[in-house]
Parts: sequence; C-alpha cells; structure tokens
Amino acid sequence: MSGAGEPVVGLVDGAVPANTRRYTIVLADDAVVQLDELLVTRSPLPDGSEVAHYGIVVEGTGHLEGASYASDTARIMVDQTMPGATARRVEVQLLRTLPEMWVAPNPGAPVHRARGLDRDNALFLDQMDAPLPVGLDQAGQPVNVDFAFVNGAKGGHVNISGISGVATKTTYALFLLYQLLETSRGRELLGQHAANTRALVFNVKGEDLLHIDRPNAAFPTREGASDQWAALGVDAPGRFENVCLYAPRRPGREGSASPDVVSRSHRDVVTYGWTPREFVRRGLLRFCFSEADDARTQVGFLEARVRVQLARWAWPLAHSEGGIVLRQPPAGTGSNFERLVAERRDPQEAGVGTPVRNFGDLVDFLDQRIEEEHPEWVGRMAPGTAMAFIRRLHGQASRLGHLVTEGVEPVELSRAAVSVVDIHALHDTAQRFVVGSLLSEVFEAKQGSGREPIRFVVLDELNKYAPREGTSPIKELLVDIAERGRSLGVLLIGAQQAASSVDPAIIRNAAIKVVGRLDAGEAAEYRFLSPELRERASRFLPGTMVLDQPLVPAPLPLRFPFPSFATNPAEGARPDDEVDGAADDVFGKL
Amino acid sequence: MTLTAPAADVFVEEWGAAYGSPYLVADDGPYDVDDEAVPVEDGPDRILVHEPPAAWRERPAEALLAGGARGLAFVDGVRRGEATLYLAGADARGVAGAHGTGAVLVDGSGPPRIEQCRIARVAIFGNGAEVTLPALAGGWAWESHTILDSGADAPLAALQNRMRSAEGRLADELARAGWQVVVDGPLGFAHPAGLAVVGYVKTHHRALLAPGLHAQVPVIDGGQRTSLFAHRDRLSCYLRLSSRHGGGGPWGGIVRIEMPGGLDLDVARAAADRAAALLPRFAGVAHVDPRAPQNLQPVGALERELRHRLGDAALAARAVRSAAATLRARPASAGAAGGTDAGGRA
Repeated sequence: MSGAGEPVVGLVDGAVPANTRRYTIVLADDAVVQLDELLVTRSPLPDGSEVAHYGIVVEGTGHLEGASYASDTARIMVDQTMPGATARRVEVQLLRTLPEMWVAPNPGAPVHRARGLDRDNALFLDQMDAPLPVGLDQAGQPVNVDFAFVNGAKGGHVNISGISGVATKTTYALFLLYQLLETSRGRELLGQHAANTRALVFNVKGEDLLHIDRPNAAFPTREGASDQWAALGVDAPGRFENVCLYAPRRPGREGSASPDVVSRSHRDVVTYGWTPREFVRRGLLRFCFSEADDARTQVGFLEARVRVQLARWAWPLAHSEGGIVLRQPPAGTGSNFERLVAERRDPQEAGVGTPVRNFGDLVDFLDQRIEEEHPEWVGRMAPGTAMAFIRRLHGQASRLGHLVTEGVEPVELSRAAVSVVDIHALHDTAQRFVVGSLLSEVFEAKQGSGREPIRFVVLDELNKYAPREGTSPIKELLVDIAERGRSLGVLLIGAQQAASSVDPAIIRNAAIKVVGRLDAGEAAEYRFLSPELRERASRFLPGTMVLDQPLVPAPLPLRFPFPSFATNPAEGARPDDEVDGAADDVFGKL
Repeated sequence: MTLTAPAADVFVEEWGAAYGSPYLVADDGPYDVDDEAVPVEDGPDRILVHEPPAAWRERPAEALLAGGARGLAFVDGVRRGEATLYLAGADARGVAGAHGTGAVLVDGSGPPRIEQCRIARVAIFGNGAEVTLPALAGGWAWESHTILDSGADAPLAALQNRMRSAEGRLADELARAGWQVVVDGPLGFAHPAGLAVVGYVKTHHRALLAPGLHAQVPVIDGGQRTSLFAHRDRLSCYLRLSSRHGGGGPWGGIVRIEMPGGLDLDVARAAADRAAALLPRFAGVAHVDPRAPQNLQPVGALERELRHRLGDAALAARAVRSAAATLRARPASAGAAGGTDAGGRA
C-alpha cells in the first residue's frame, strides 16, 4: 500500500466527532499543513477491513490548550508563568473513500500527506479515462479534469466567474484553450479531429486578445512560469500558432473597409462584417432587436414579418459583392423563410428595384414601406408599433449599421484554428448583434453534422447576452447551446462577473465551473463552494481559481501558469512593431 | 458586646467565599507552647524581614537557574474516589478511585510545561479484604490494595496517602535530577536529607510562632520573607506573594514554605530566598482562580490537567459497576477455589 514511509502529519481529532463529510486533524508538533493540501488516513474497521479517507484541508485553527481566558495567552507565552501547549488543527473535507464506504474515519487514526498514488486516488485520476491538466494545486502538482466532461461526451461547457479587473477569467479561458489546441496532450485528446477543431473567441476588453498569436514578452522573465508549464507537461509553451484576427469595420467612412484597430497592423487583421445579402439570407434582423424590452412589445412580431418579407423581396445585386436589389416578388412566392433563402436567384440590375448596398439603404427602404403602411409589410400592426419598429431601426443604424455593407468579409472559422473576433469597441447593441449572428452561424452549421470536430466558443460577459431576467433571441440561442450544444459539439467557455446575473440554465449546464475572485456580497450564489472557500474567494489573487468538476465532490483551489502567449498589447509588443493603426487613428479624427 | 473598629480597616479576603479563608488563626485560640516554632536564622527570639538578592528580583531567570539548578518544578497531585465498595460477608468497605501526580517544569526556555503525569487507578479494601476487580475493555484496570483498618473512611484516606507518597516520590526524583522542587501542600513524607524540596502551604490553621512573633509576620511585603524557624522536623518561613496593600487584609497573600529539618541552614536560606524571589511571579490571578493569589498558576493548571487525565468520573463509576457485576456473575467455586483474583477473605 502506498503512503508507507510518509511521515505522520497528525491524528484524526478525537475531541470532536469525525463524520463522513468533515473531520479534524490534530497536527503533529513538527508538521506544517496548509489549506488545500490533500491528506489521507487509513482506518481499520471492526470487521478487519481497512478504508482510506482522502480529503482536502479547508480550514486551519490553533489555540493554546490550558488557556481559558484571553489574558492567559500572555501568562503562557510571555510571562511564562502558566503552563500551556499550542494545539494546531486543520479541518478536512472528504473527497473520497476507498473502497467506497460511507463511514467516518477512526478518531486517532494517523494522517499522511496524499502523495503519488494516494494523490491520484484523492483526485479520482483512476476514474478519468482522459485526464486533461487544467491547473496546479498548492504543491505545484497538476490538477486534471476528465476530457469527457470537456468535449461533450459526458458533459460539456466551462463556466468561469470572477470580478473584473484582475484579468483572470479571460486568461484562464485562453489557458484552457491553449491546453486543448496547442499542447500535445490536448491534440492527443482531440484525436483525429484535432486539426479540424475550431475556437471562436470574442474579445471584449481592449485589444487584449488580438495578440494571442504572439509570444508573451513578459514570459521569459517571469519566475517559475516555465516550471509551472513543465509541471503541466508542456515543455515549450508559446503563442497560439494558428490564429485569425477579426476587427470590425471602422464606423463613419462609407466605402472604406479599414478595421477599427490600433494595436495591430491592418495587414494582420481581417475586417469583418455582413453583406446585405448575408444579412437577409441569415435573417440577422432578429439580432438587431435585442434590447431587454423588445421581447415585451409587438415589435418582435413585426420584425419576424419584415424578416420574411426581406427574404421574399431580395435578389442579388449584379456587379456587387453582397449587395441586393429589393423588388416585388412574383405572385405565388411563398413565405417560408428557410425555403426562400435556399432559393437560387439570379443577380438583377440595380434598376429593377431598390438597390441596397449597406444598412442605411435598408433602413431607408423599410422606413418608406412602413411609413406608407403597406399591408404586405406591416400587416395589421397598430401604427404605434410600426413607428416604434422604425424608430429602433434608425437607432441601430448608427450603432451597428457600419457592420452591414457590401465588400466586407465574413468571419469564417475554417480559416484558422482560433478566430478572435474583436467587439470591445462596439456599442452594446452591436456587440449583441455580432455575438448573436456568429453564434447562430456556428450552431446552425453543426446541426446534424456530428459532435466532432468540436467548436469551442469563448465568450465573456455572458450576463450581457443571457441575463437572468427577460428574453431575447440571443439569450434563447445561448440557452439552447447550453442545453443541446454539448451533443452537437458546440461548447461554451463562458465567463461572467457574477453567476447570479446569468440565466441559471447556462450555469447549470456547465460541467466544469471555475471561480476566481468573487465579490464578497456575491459569494452566496456559489453553493458548490464550501463556506470557507466562498469567503476566501473574495480575497483570491490573480492566478488563483477554484475548480468544480463532476467527478470530484469538493471544489479544488488551483493556480494556472503565467501565459506564454500575449494577453494584452504590452505583452504582445515587439521592438520592430509597425502599428499603422495608431497613425491612421490620428487622421481619422481630423 | 459590640466591637468597634475604624471602617477603613474593612478588607475583602482574597479567596472565593466557597473556599473560606486561608487565615484560620483565632486571636484568642489555644496556643500550644510545647509545639512552638523556634526562629533559627536571626537568633531564637526574633524574626526579621528578608529580601532576596536584588539581582534575582530584577532578573528572575538568574534565580531560576541559581546554583546550577535546571529550573523550578511544581509538583502536585489530585485524587478522586469514584465508587464506594462493600464486600458483603467480610464487612469490608472499600473505594475504587484514581490519583494522579505530575509536575510543571519552568526553565525559562519556553512556556511552563506539564510533564511526568502519572495516573493510577486503584481499588482499596479495608478490614484486610483482598478483592481484585477484573480489567475491562476501554482501558479500565485497577491496582488492588488492602488495608487492615476497617473504618468507613479508611479506604479513602489510604487513597489520599497513596497520592501523597506518589507526590513525594516525584518530588524527590526531580530534586535529584537538579530541579528546585515546590510541592503543593505541607511536606508529608520524609525527604532524604540534602534535598531542598520545598513544601508550599496556603492555609494557616494555627499560630506556630510565639504570639509576639506571630503578630510581626504581616510586616513582610510582596516578595519578602520572614526569618527561617524550626518547627517539629521542618525548617519554615512565611513569605508574601502580593503587595501588603493589596486589600486582602494583614495576612493577604501570605503563604508558608517548609523544608526538611535536616537541611544545612545556608542551603535552606538560599532555597527560601529563591522561593521569595520566584513564587510571586506565579501567583494565581484573582478572576481566574478563586484561591488566588495563594494557588499558584502552574499548580492550578496542573490540577486541571490531572483531573482531566483521571478521565470521566461517570464513565469510571460505570466501569466499577461493570467490574463488580462481572465478579458477582462468576461461579462461586471460582472465587472460593482460587481466591487470587476474585472473591474475598476476611
């Protein structure tokens, strides 16, 4: 049996009852045991068998035996006139018993550190078919999750919580992604589909993630960082090798398709957007109405009607990259959206109807139709609703209109393993439009095509897209992904500041939950954390997280190594950098 | 008759009311001339105020290790009758109980530490009856002892004696090992000559010195002692633990220490000075111990620890009942034939 030869660090405390969930260890005089350490104790049972209890230290206490008044402390330790002995104890939360027996450990049983095989047992490594290291414990040893709970086979989705400002959530999400896509262990786990696995990463803060394709300039001088990576089995960590960066089109300049980015050369990024044709074909109008109160009004009904009408009226515009001509469809044209967008239609000259080359053209056209109360377009909608619809549409034009124009490139996951889509500078409405549009594309593309190859989606600020209260097309989509995505191979690595602000279905469906630093008032929402961890989580430093996974019944605090890829412009800076974005920006303001 | 005294002379005795007064000497109580103590340090007719050397008062560590001593050892014992026994047919009474002794060692290297705790669990029968209680699971076992006295209180007194002699043995052992030993209570046993074992007496039952000298004792202040005097086979002196203006009355904080009579006077003087220099530091604290300051902190803690180590009294009583029931359940022949581990013999 392993564990033999390990020094005894203490005994199961007999002064307080030990139960099957928690017990206390009285530490030996020379033992140093701190929080999060893994301990094992073996108890002989009356029937002659033996059971091993594996646990994690959740709290430590100390007191002076013999002191009954606070003032006795000085008598014992300073004046040294009263006898007293220091007693140190740690509280242990049970992780596992082997064999699986629901009995409490014997009071007085000796306790050892769980090392080697004992540590593997404590963390259920023997129960994991495909362990994936996702961090390091207190002692710098790797902590694994079962890949079957990452790839959707038994479970899927990762949810990360933590207050902003400590920059931990996104970094951890990318660290996970790096483990999966860039390390030999990750590729081994992804198997034959490794090369076709794709990740869609939304960049929501600064231009931080537009640099992950570069090595982290701060990494070489970061003490211990490469050792931590090595402990995870990664010998030469570096940048994300295969990345396509997408930046939105800069607003305000009609006809120009330069990207809205300052920290990268325009040559490094793809300017993304949707052509009017794609906009109509994909029915993206629905993501233009994602305000919380849109769902409570009749505007949604009108939007659905207009969406179908656009599909009926739209023909490709000749000599244009993605423009359309809107014209009266021939009699007998159906009104089934899917069938309409699947139709092959020949390009038409601009003269046959109203040419639409950008969002402004589209709004103008709809404005007119609705103003004139064409029954075909507005149906029996009350005039007030129609006006509200058109007012909203005008409002969105300035926020997301620049994303819909001819001549822009779509976001195509096939281009690279990782697609980083920058949305940080967009208005909230435009962010929801982009996220909704791209997620629906990814999700629809995977319908009926099998779970693998997998699509990972990294999305921070989930509370913006799937808030706890209210409904919207994006929220429905995200909940749908949370509930069905794992069997379809669309796996969400989502993050938010507070789990309580996100739709419960999204949190509930995440097999793997990771919590960074929590707001003290918020900590009550995280039931899976022990009371001690909830309190501790409000004091976590960057780089410390708590991992909750289906196999292990107690949350495990873990650290992850300093990233080897750049996670912000400073880390991604290179001496020979030529940033034409900055210069461009100056001119843009003239 | 009404006795009037200035109201300013009202004092509150230091001990908790439940413990009575440590000073039980009646002013008009009988004085036994034949048992009178005789001052030996400063002539037979007077007692003086002695103060330990200034260096010891200022640097207690020096007093602690003076003369190459390893430090100070406080020795005490506790005992508890746990069940009263009766052997029918032999008219023998007995007691099952436990006693414990231990020491608090103070050597300046850290907090005082409790060591050498020795617990004995015994069954003592009077009237010469020999009864052995069988050991039980859970660690319950009794040493058997027999005394000839048939008095109802004799077994309990024997338990007390056993504790006192265990105390004495431990005190001698520690003294031989180089510790300055302070035993709680008067010296009950003959300690080998040359060993400066100090008995520590908290309660004053009667005046030992002639009335004139006795009246002078309260002159001493905290940290001071009287001249040594000889009483029976002991050398003794009074010392005060706390300030004489502390509010506890003229005899407040005064204790008596005693040493074996055969001790060289210089050795006894040094031991008394060390006691006067060191013991006030260990005086009990009023809100913690109802017998403060006389009950010393190490002794109070040691007693608590020893009582704790005697185990749970209710469990002990239950164990005695089980053991007795086991004895009664045995076939009569077993007891009659063997007579070694069960049954009785008057």
